[in-house]
Amino acid sequence: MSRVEKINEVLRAIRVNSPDVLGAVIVSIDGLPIASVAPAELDEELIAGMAAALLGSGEQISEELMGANMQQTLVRSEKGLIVLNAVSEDAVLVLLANKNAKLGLIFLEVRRAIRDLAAVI
Amino acid sequence: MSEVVIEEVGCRGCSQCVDVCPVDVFEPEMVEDHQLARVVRTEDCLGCLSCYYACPSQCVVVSDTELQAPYYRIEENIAFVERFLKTKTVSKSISDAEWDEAYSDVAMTLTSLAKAMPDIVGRGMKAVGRRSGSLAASHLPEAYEERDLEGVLKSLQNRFKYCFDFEYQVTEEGVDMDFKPCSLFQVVKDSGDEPGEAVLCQLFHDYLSGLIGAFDGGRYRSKLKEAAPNCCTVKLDNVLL
Repeated sequence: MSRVEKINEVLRAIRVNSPDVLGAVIVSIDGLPIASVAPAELDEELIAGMAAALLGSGEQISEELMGANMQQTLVRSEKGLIVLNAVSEDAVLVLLANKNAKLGLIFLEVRRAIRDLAAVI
Repeated sequence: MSEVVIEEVGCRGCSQCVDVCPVDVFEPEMVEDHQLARVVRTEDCLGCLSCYYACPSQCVVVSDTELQAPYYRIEENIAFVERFLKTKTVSKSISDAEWDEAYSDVAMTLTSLAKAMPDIVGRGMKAVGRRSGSLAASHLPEAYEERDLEGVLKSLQNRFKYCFDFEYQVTEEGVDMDFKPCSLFQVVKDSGDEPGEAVLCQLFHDYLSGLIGAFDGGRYRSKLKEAAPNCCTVKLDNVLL
């Protein structure tokens, strides 16, 4: 199984385990999409760019205000949640969940996925 | 002499050609209940192709003209436009000292903008550079007409010859671009930064990744190969290869 197939398998598993998860995308820190299981209407290139910029901003503010490395970025909207978590030095996991999602379960799923993805990426 | 024709079937009457033409070759006209644009002074056409690029329906055809980009930087064209505008352009009337002041202000603005990027978005800066390149692609429609990377690079080489003059080499990984030098070189040098390594240069390299990727569908990563005394070699690797 190729690396991309392994990454896609991890992403698919997130959606199977948590029906409230609407999509999961892996992007590189320089804004290139790596893998995605997300609604087809999403512009992958744009999402990748925004995720990289958001992660970068999160790292900057965490360092500036707390003098510590950022671990996670959470965006909550009327329709649900977006969680950004670094997978490695070069890659970021972006997870979209609907508003019914339980935050604890989502974080658990994120941790699991990062553990599995870290072994692949 | 350039000849301009509007293919009436495609015209949606948006009047963009009327607005953009520097010498009023076009006029709007009502035909029944539809507004259309008409060519009324084809003999005045300068061949600047503004109408061709502005038309969203691509129904303006300009023939017997040579593509000159950027049109307004060529001395004889400036003189030609002046005849119609009956006034001297600002760029012709300012002194060398005023040029230097303008250059210094633009340089300061550019370097400050660039330096703010890593402060705010940190590592996400590369994505911003790449996105700006993708957005810039729509301003260079001629490069979309090329069928392969070689054609795209030739087109960009021609378009950028006055500001980012470069030679290129298509490699197994992507493309190497040699700038000789680019317009940012002096700006960066004057700001006290190291050309090639400066934030402004990095942003420009990622801009190129986004720009070329937009035309050929590749996903490029930029890397400074060499920063020589007067030029940089930028390596753009296509991660899809």
